[in-house]
Amino acid sequence: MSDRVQPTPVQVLPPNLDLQRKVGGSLAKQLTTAVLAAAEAALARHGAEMMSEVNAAIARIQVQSMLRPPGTAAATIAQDAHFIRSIAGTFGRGPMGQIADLLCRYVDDLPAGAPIDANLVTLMAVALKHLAQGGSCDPELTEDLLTECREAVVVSLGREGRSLPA
Amino acid sequence: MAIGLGGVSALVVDDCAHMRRIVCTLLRSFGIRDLREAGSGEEGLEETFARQPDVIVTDLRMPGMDGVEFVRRLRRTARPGHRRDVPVIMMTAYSERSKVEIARDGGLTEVVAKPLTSQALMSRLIMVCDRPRPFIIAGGYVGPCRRRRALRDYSGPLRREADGTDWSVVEFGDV
Repeated sequence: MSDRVQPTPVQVLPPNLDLQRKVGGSLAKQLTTAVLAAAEAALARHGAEMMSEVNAAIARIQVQSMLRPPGTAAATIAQDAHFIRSIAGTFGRGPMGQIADLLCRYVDDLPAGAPIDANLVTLMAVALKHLAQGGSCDPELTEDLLTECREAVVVSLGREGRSLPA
Repeated sequence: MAIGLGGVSALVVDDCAHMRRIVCTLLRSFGIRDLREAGSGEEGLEETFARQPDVIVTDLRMPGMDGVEFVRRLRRTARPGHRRDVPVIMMTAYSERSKVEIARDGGLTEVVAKPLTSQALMSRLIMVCDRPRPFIIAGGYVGPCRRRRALRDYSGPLRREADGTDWSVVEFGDV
């Protein structure tokens, strides 16, 4: 007797080979290390401009954290934090991306209208600025900064009855 | 026969214009010339229905219609000329990994973690091109088969119609 269980109606289509047809076979054989190097070089050409945008985002976060009443700018801070998180790591600023990620975790689930922890946001902005100015050259200091920021986020979230999402 | 990605079209969906530029730069470097951009999930759907790109790269987190909803609608919309099985590569950030499971159930093809690197994007492109998976249309799920590999020692029940079909032997040119 077969151990096949009577299935609910499910349609299984064969794999879509359109891409392979257009590419003319295996893509792995065509995307060589030379192509990868060219892509890296093309990306690097955007580096200065992107990091300048990141710096502008950090400055905005710093200003927003000082606004009164605090909390009115959570959406703007979230937008800038998400931007830094997306961009920084791609241009070799991984620790900045990690700190921005912590900030995202703090602001993302902030209840609507709830005040932000201005001290926390300022701390994160200062850490980001430090790293943007080349502070990430010292791995030990970078690690300390990351730990400090993480702990500060955990404390702030705890105070607000929240916790760091997994 | 065309060689390389020169004849391939791609759509990049992200609300962040800078991120779209980064992705487009990489895709262009890989050889894709027909590149389109969309700044939201809604716009992405319109572009997809209008132009039927060969591959889509989308962000997970977007205001309004996010990446998960975008893929879900794209997969569930049946209309003439629309390829529901278009490969979709989704970009996610560090803390969004918990959402990947949800996104996978929405029907995405591959995930690429941010920070985005050229190597990571290239490897996902290679995956969707060289190792396409069967496409499932069921009541609760529409998308690529979520089984990435056959477990030779799997002893559970075989529920799917296609169980027993060895897709790994289906090579380009056979279908």
